[in-house]
Amino acid sequence: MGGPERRPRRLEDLPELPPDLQAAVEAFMHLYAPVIKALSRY
Amino acid sequence: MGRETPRPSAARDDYATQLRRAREPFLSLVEALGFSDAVATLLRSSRRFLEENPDEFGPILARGTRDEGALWYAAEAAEFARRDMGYDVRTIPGPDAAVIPARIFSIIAYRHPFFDGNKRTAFISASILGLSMGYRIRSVPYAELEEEVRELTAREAAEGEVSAWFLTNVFIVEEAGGS
Repeated sequence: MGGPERRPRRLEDLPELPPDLQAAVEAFMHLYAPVIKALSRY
Repeated sequence: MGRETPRPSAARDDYATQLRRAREPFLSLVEALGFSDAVATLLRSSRRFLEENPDEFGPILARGTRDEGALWYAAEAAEFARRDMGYDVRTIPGPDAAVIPARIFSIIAYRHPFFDGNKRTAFISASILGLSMGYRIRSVPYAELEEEVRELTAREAAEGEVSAWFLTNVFIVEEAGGS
């Protein structure tokens, strides 16, 4: 007998973030956009 | 200071208000999903916002995940780090807990689970996890951060050093018991 079966998971199956947390994610990324964009340079 | 990257102050005020609202919904997410899946959800959502806004954040030359397993591993590794140090997410994190976002950074930046944009995703994911855990975020990023992130990544800096770097450059530790 094996252990508990591990269900297959996909990132897309995870729920959406609560709206305030999604807004905070976006706020951080807007605030740090110059750094984030600069990191895209090769 | 000459190192500042200017952003309009009104926008910064709005962002600061939104950043302060991250912690409570993150705690709810942890309660619903567990810490590991809450971290994976943050990672997935921040990566998606990055891919959807190439004009603001730079292009992603190849969208999608090269190794989705590495992303689950990163989220589980964050949970292991949390458990190892006995950090309770309901408490305001002290400096020691910065090793948790540092672990996310190290795994994504060094293992390259995405086809493109791994440094950006590593930096964003670690920062947002720290924010969600309860660190405040420095409101004025410095232009030199980009070079420093590249340098940390290029030599695969140890987790403790990455943790210290985030504490110096991105996170502000709240006083224990502060409001």
